[in-house]
Amino acid sequence: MEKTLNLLMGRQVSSPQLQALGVALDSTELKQWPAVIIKKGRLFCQRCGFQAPRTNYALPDKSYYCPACLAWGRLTTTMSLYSIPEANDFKKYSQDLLEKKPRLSLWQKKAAKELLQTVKRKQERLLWAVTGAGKTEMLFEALNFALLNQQRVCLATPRVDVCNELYPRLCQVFPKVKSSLLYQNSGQEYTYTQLVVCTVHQLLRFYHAFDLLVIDEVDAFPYVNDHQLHYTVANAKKINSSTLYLTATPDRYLKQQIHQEKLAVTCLPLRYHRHLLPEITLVKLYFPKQKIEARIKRYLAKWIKNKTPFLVFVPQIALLKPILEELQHFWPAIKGECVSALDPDRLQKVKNLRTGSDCYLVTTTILERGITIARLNVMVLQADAPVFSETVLVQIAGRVGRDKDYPTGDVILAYQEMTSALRAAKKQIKLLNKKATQLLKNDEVSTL
Amino acid sequence: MMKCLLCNATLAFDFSWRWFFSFQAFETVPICEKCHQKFIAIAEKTSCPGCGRKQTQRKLCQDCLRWRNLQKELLYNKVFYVYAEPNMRAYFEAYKFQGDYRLRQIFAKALQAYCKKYLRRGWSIVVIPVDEQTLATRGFDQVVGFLPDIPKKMYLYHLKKFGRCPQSHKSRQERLATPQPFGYQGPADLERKNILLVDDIYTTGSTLYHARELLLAHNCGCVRSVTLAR
Repeated sequence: MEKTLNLLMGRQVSSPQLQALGVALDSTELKQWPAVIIKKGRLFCQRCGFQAPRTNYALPDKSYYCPACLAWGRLTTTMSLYSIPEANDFKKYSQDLLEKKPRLSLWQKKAAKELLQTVKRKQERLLWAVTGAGKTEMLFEALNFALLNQQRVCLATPRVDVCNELYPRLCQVFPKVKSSLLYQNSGQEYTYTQLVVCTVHQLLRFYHAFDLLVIDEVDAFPYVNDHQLHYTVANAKKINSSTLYLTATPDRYLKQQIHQEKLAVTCLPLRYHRHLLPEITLVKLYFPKQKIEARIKRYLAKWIKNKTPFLVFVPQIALLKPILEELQHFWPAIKGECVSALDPDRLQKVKNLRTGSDCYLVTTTILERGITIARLNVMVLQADAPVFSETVLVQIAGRVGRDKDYPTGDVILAYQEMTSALRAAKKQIKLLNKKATQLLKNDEVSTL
Repeated sequence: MMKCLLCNATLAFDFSWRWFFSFQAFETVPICEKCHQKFIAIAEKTSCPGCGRKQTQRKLCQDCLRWRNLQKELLYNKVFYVYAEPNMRAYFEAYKFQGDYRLRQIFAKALQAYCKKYLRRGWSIVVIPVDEQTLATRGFDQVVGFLPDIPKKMYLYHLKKFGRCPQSHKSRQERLATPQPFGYQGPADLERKNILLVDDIYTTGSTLYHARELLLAHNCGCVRSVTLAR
């Protein structure tokens, strides 16, 4: 019994789920509140934050249901949600949990200190660090502090791949702390742990649970512009808690928040190898019908001559094949492939590019994040298409020059009409590089 | 702005002059054309006349021959879509088991049009009921949901003791061996009235044949049936 009550700590469950756990509905420890409420004729789901006029969601028995979180079990106006308040029933650690402190550069150390301060003061902060700056390492100090103080900690991200990458690293760094990895169909049953790594959607099951909530890749789909997920995040953390947002490419909303000084920010414009981000080269095309013009062909020819791998981004899946055919028509001896989200052997193809058995990949925006290949060059065709937003373009540019030995490379964006996203992406990289040069200058002065 | 109930894509409105001068109310569609095409429709020409199963030609299938060998008159079931296919299964999963009541709108139009045809000829529409326990947890009857504007007769009800194990959890043999699951609560004499039975899925046919037996015992006329999927 004690165990099942532990499972409910900081969670929110509906009555059928509670019955499945074998807990009586009138248990004294349980906090209870209505699952779906009607406010001025509008339906409001207290679990996922869905809001809409109620008329479309009526059931014949005159109750209303939330259509947005059906997959987690249907909630109606007649049902309640139950929870047990988070008691932070964790082991007390006497010594430092960080066994091996990561080696940080001077600027990383400064950023890590700011994050630690934020956690101590229970505030919110955005860590804006360029692609390849070592964001996770900077977090460890803050996580260590929270865990030592018996706080419950969650790392959430919109992408499953990122979860799977983060979890083993955290286990390695904090071997003594009980941790769990949650995502849909993970096959793991929920256990009560101090450290939780999960997808943002899993936060739907939590209620006022976390003292420290870290959200990685805040600008990634589906977290951006999703009010429900924002509600979910706000609902999952305690009222008096700290939140850290991590990103390489803040979107317009986040930038606005920074500008209005609603969100504190730590900016780290330098990569860990202390080189600037590669600048974007814009190439305007004049003949819309011709797919690969001479103006961009010469870049491709250069890359092929130098035997460096490259990615060609296109806006639609339908364009993958024709572009690949054309490239093969120009250079029949050079091997290449095309990749999309629908491709089952996508990982294998990326591996081929890394080992050098393929020279290039034609791809959609799925390879925008999380791919690191040495000496990579990048070209974006039809960069004025709406899928290439500012954050996507900056992420794509961030694929280049991640290696310590080859910190430079080309980022070619081919377009026909200038868009605000193109302009903003170029501007963002310029701004970050400007800040980075300033940092480097100060650094030299201080070391002198 | 209307969204497709299944894929959430924005639905385009086709306002035409023809519609404008037709002086009819504008008909909104619940799902997009793409999602609609994913369901496999069954044409009359290529289905079994007895149960509506999709085949290559129009002749009685093995199951219907077996029913006929049992000295039963066939139901001549009308079916709209194939059930044993991922999209339709996903639909019923979302509609019946997750309980998204909005999804009834997707097929309501087709089913109602079919029922109206029979109503005009003076037939009665009888719905296969859901047992009380399911009704309480689900909050709606999935077949009644398909027919909001049709006058339905609730002649049948579920006998309680069979309400424990739903049909969808049984094997084929178990289903065929199930005793009469329904009770009758209509008028004692149906006066040779013709009846159209409506259900959501036809699997073995035993549910519908049980219902027909009960109705025949109360002196009804001809019994036919219609289901959304087979």
